[in-house]
Parts: sequence; structure tokens; C-alpha cells
Amino acid sequence: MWNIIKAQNYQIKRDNLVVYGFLAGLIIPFLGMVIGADGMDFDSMSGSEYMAESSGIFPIMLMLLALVLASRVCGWDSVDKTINYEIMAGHSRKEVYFGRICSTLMWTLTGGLLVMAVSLLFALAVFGWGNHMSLGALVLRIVTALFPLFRLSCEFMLLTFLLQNCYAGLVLGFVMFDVSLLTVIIYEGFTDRILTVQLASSNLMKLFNFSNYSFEYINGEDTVVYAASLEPSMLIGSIVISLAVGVVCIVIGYIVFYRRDM
Amino acid sequence: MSEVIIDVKRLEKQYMKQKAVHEVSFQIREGMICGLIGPNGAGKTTIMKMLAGLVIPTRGSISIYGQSEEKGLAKSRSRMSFMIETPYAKEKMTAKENLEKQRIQKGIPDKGRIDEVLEIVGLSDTGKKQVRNFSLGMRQRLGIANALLTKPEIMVLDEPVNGLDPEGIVEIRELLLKLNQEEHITIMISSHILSELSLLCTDYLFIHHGRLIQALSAGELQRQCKEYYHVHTDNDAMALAVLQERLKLSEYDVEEDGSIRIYERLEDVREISKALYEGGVIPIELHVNGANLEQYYMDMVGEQDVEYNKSTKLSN
Repeated sequence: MWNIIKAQNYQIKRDNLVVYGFLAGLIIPFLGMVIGADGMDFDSMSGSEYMAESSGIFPIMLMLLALVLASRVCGWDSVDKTINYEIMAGHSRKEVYFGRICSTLMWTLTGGLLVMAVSLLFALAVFGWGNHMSLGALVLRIVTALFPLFRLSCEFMLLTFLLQNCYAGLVLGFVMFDVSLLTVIIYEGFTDRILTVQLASSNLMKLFNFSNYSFEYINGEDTVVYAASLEPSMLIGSIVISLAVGVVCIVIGYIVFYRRDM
Repeated sequence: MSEVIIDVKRLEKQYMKQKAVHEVSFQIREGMICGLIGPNGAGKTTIMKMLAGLVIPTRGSISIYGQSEEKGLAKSRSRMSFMIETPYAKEKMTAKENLEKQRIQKGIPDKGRIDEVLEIVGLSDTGKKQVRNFSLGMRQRLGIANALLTKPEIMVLDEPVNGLDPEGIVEIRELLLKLNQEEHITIMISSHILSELSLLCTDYLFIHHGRLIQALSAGELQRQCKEYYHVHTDNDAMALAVLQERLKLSEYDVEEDGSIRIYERLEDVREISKALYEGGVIPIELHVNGANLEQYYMDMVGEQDVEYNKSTKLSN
């Protein structure tokens, strides 16, 4: 299985779509911030304020990252049937399947962490942190976001294994995520309830939603302080539900892959 | 007799209402070059895919190097190489990058092996050209290079000369013969170019409508296809005695119905007629017969089609 992971890593590094996707994931948060910073005073901005304003884009970036990697690693080799050569080389179906799962998760979680960390480090380096939000709380949210990212990646991998096509996986995965976002918006709009960990999209959106804030008097001035501390229910729910759904997706995908005629 | 490497017993594959492979049984022995012959849709690729582990058989068993359980079969397959349906090729990679990925995936430590196999198949000068710009023949060569990467003991090749020019076909044929004779690699190969198979194979498996209709060695096939003089008289036993006495016949066979096949003296059959007449035997049938592999195959397929249509009508 390790050889399959290494071979996939070799291929990913030469995949332009993945490379450009990573670069886009690193650059787009900054562009989004610049484009969307209407009326913001960059001279007085702090890093904490920057992160509160810009991190709302993280769910989209993480979704795109998970989608591109899942569809490329789990679906591209099915399109040109090169996946067959791994089975013909004597690897078991278990090795072929889980090799891809491990490779996808490795790149997705590392890439996701990188995208979020680079934004954070940029904010720290350029603006300093400031008093608008607890740094530790944000770091905890970033680390917690890796769990719904894991879940999202597993959902996309399952979709791609079912479709056996990276392009169909990309398109339908994108549609699936958009539908889940719309579901969150419509559901919360028509009911009094809020979706949190029920969907991966709602989980990520809530983790990077800093709409709750208060005013505090700090260093002689009124300061907006964003409520960044993670509620224990949100933290535990994010981890447990994400892991459970992710594992179920992986198992279903394996059952489908194991007995499929290639 | 050489060791049985692949032993297939009553293999079947059913897709919904259609049976693609019906109770096929055969053995591949060490050192064979076995040709799998059949029209499109006969079941050749399905059989090869079942050997490769890509398709799960509905019934029957496959044993490779004595292993028939899943784990053992996977391990046995690491001693084999396959080229089935499409040759291995990632479009946006070069030939070298493709083989490097395969080298990593197969756990081959020797990086120099890539240059060796590219040299063997004539692709060592492709440089940075991506596979998407390769001709069909070049892609086939890359597929064969991939098959050679692990120095396999058995190669299973599905139409490996497809798309190659005549020079390329000859090169691949000579390569496969060399691999078989010098490296002792056993080969199972399917092709539509029957004339090529007849220059290559030591054994044949004829597949039609998912059934193995005949398995025979090259020697047996040659005997079946060899030109001969067919003699049928009013007294075949006496005819044989007369011919042996007068013409000193040595190359002949007696058919089940008593008629005689004579493989010599074909350049002047009047001698045979004269000998029979002088011996008091009245000939009923006297004609030259014989076929090459293509004719033999077409005759066999034609008979099988008649039988298949009959049985299909009956079952309807």
C-alpha cells in the first residue's frame, strides 16, 4: 500500500490542476480580502480583525481543495483505466483503495492546514495580532476544521469511487456542496433552528462565522471583540460526527470497490 | 512435461442475462506461447481480465502458481505482467514519467530498468514528448515496456500489436520470441492477426461465444491445416494396402471413417490414381484439402455459428 501512496504522490506533484488549485487556495483568501474590504482601514487593521473578516472564505477554499484532490486521486486513474494496472501488478483491492484514501487525506488535510495557516501567519506578520479575537481560540477552530474537512474529503471520495470518473466527481461534488450550502441557508431562513455539525458545509461555515461580537474597552478605546471560543458541544460534535460520517463513507466506498468489475 | 502455471477450471462469467464466458477450462504451462483466438465479443478479454483480477468470476476457479485464494493470487500476479484493453499511459506525462510512476508503484528499486525497457521497445528517444502526442503504435510499445518493467515470468497481452506498422509487428514478434526463448517467459497473447499468431504460438485456444471450442498445440494445428490428398474408395482398407505396397507411402493418416489422408506426392496425384486403379480399387473421392490458420479458424467459427444459432433457436 505504501508503494501506491508514493506513486500517487508522484502523480499529484505533476498534476497541474492540483498544483494550480493549491496556489489558488493560498492566493484567493488575500484577493477575497482585498476585493471585499470595502470601507476597511488597512492602516489600523489588526491581524485578528483581518482573520475575522477574511476567514469566511475558508469553507469554500477547503471544499475546493477536498474536491479537486478526491476527484483526481480517486477518479483520474479510472478514466484512463490505469488503476487496473495496480490490481494487475499484484496489489490487493484493499491496498489499491486504501492507498488512494490515505494519499487523498494526507494531501487534503496538509493542504487545508497550509491554506489556513498561511493566511494566519500573513495576518500576524503584516498586521500584528491585536485584541479583536483570541489567537488560541482561532487556532483551535482551525485545527477543529480539519475534522469536517476529513468528512468532506471522504464524501467526495465516495462520490468519485461510485462514479469512477474524476470529471463527473468534480462536477457533482461541486453541485453537492452547493446544494448543502443552500440547504443550510434555506433551513435556517425558514426555521428557528441552526445547523451546525449536521452537514460538513454547515460545520465549516459555523467554525469560521464570527458574526457574534461585543464591544469592550481595551487600551483606552472601544474595541470590537469577536466571540471565537468554541463551545464544547461544537468541538465534540465536529470531531465525533465528522469521524463517524467519514468512516461510514470510506467503508461504503470499499464495499463498492471490492466487488466491482473493472 | 513442463509445470502448470495457470490452471483454469470451469470458469464462468455472467452479466445480468448474458453469459460472457461458459465453463472454460485450460492450462498454461511453463514456456508456452499460448494464442487466444476468437472474434470480437468472444470472451477473450473477459477471460484475461479474470486472470488479472479485474473481473470477478461468477463460477469456477483460477489457480496461478498453485495459489487459488485471493491473497495468494494477488501475490502470484506480482510474478506476471499484463497488458489488457488499453496500454498503461497517463496522457500528460512523458514515457519516462509513466514508467517511473509504475516503478514506484511496483516497488522496483532499480531506476536503470526504465531506460533498459525503453531501449528494448524503441522509445528511448521520446524525451519530453507527452504520451498524448504519441501515435497508437508508440502507446502500444509503452504498454509493452510497462509489462517488461518487473522482469515477469508470465506475460498476458491483449492484442499487443494493435496499431503497429508491419515493421513494428515484426519487431514485437521477434521480441516476444526472444523473451520466451532466452528469458523463458511464458506468454499468453490474443490477436486478430492470425498470421502473426501462427508465427509465434506454441499452443492455441479457440474461443467463440464465450466457449472454449478447441485447444490444441501448434503441431496438432499444423497437422490439421497441412495440405493433404483425401482418398475415399469402395474399399479403403484395400486402398491403403495397395498404396503402401506400390508407392511405399509413409506420410499418411487414416480417418475415423476409414478414408485416407496422404501428405506426400501432392505434386503428382496421378500416381495415386494409377496405383489405385491398377490395384483394383474404385476411388469415390479424390481431392486435395488443407488450410492455413485463418481458413481453419473461419471454418471452425462457421460451424460453431451454425451450432450456436441452432441452440439459440431451441432455447427461444
